[in-house]
Amino acid sequence: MKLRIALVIGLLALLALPTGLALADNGPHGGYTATTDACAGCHRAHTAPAARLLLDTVPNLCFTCHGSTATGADTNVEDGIYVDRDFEAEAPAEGDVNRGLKGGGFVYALMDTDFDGAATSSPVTSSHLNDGSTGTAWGNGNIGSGPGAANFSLSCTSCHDPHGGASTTGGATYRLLRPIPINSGAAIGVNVTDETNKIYTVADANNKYFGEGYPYTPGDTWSSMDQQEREMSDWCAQCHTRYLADSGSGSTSSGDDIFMYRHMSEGTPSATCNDCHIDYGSPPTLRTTVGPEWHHNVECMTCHVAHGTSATMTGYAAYVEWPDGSTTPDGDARSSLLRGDGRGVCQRCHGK
Amino acid sequence: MSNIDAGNQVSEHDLSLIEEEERAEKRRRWLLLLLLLLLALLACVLLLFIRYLRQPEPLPEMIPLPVDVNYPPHYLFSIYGVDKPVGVAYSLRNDRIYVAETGGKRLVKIFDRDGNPLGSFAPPRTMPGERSPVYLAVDGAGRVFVTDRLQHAIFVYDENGTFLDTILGPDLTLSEYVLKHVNNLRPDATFAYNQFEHVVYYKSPGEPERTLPTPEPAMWAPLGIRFDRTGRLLFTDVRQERNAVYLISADAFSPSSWRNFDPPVISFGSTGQGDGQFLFPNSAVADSQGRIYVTDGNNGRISVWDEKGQFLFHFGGGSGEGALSLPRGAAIDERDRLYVVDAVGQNVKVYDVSGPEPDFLFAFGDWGMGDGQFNYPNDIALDRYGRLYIADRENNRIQVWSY
Repeated sequence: MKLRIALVIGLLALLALPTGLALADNGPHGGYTATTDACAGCHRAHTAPAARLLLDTVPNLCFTCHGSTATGADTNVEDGIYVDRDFEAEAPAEGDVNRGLKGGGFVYALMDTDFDGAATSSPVTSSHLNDGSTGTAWGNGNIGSGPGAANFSLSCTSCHDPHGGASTTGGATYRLLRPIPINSGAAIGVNVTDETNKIYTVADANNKYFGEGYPYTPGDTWSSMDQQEREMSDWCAQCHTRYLADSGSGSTSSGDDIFMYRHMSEGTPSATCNDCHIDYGSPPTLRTTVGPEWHHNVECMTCHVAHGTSATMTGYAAYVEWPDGSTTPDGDARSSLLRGDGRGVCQRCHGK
Repeated sequence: MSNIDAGNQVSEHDLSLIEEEERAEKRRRWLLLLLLLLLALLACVLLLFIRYLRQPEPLPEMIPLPVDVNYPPHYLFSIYGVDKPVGVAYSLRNDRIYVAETGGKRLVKIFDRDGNPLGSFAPPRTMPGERSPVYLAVDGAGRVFVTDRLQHAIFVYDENGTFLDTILGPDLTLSEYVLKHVNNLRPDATFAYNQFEHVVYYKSPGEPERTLPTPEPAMWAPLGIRFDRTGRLLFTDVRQERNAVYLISADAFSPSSWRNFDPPVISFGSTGQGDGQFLFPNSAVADSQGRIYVTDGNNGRISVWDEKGQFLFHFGGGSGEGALSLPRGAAIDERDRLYVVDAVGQNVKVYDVSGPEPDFLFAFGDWGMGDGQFNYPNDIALDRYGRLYIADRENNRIQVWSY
């Protein structure tokens, strides 16, 4: 009898553990009550020294918990590392600590940019933030509106809503993403579906993002991620409007002067190849199961990370001009948030 | 009869003369003593004056005694040359200040009391992106203990920053691990550890460097670290499964115990928001009665425990005077005044915890970039002269305050 009770208690404890750990829209980011004290953590009603009644400017406020010391959270976005083990993703793999974040990092990034199977921590070469400087939101605006919105500045809260419940219906969104990023000019919001189990890390040595299909790993369940990936591309296009392109856009003019022919960023490649081949590499590997569930979607996150990359660019890759024709800055700054060194992301699928 | 009376009269006169002389002698002695005391006092004042001329400082700092005042300290000066400092510790052994910086090269930097740089150090065989020194503590021997959030370890150095050993878990040191796997290892062999490379390096003089696979990572994530007055090590653990506080007895850190490290450990607390639970405890300090005060960071409060690890109560939550936003580093002085750095509140809050109930005394500092203003302060250390050293992260400096 005692053994049975102990087993039941043990099982209940195991079931209860993960629910307490997925904190993206809890902790200070949600779950507010009528008598909450959470507001005072970041705001002052009458004596705030920073805009939005904040106690300081973003991102310093965010880095107080999510910075390299990770003194208030396990998601260290400065180094692009989930410092504790990812309980949901790696359940019985106790001791797996320091995994690369899916979004990369802002100062360092723990990434496998040369696709050798080992992630290393290196300084970031391009990032989506965050130092108060301004840049161009490439492709922002309608067809024919030039390279994009200039003097665009970003901070953490441009994309994330620290209060959670960010969707247009008040529900949770993936990583607290705002349906409409601040200053994006978008009119209709995109709700990116939240995860039931919040997996923050690139969970395996293949540096996969969203569980995308390259290289194929037996057991990948791909179709369930399809909706979220498409939503994510739609969300990126809230700012980078004209980068959003479906299958066939590489051969069909959009009518834009700059973004005329575009690589697919939301869609599935033609079924003729992917129905049978795992990838285009040599030697070609045939699938054991043929069917639409194995199609490889190509979305923004297939090639790019959201926060910052440590990928390095050399040769031709380092001297590709920006969409407005400018050529500075050059060198590693051309890494454009890509997930691989040079144009490794091209080779990863096309295997030439 | 009349002769007898005359003799008595003479005798009384003599007696009064003798008494007068005795009183005069006493007065002279007292005057001499007073003169000597005045001379001694004058000598003291002269010495203090010479000391002041050599190194001008407020009086409380020149006389190393507990300052019996309950008014806020004042800003003295700042130590620059640090990049995003988050941790600070003071060595009573040699009056040095140790600072953990999380920007730039992520080094631990050493300064003297006046802010002159004396050196820097970091875990061997690690690159800046692979280390994140956070909090520090200095023991009675002057050894510096540094928690590293990315290496999931406590690194130990001598007072000059020479690497000594690494605590890899509550019952494992690096030297112990190497000794278990390598026979006939020389006592002067050196070790290094890098969690990212999954490699342990060891080298005996005159021999090539060799490697071992790293041990299975311990189920811990050490963060805050302090020594109490009896030499016990207190550290906080922020691993997801169990946020907790650990106490390790002082004798665990004798040189002979490093290679057989299995000290008795007291631990308490769990993850959550209820009584006896923590969300990212950042610091644990003990008062003169043995009570332990834990800055319960994300719960915005101070959690109080007895010396056996039994939860007593918490305070500082909610709103109002003395309420905390995001408590991080803490320190406690000889009079049992608890200093708590409120990272988001942008100040230091001070409580008198000498009685049965904590009493909020005052807060000092506010947000800004000027003298005496903070921009995300994170930690505090006290010296024996009434000075306070505060890690002012986003202002890239250590602020020095004094009574």
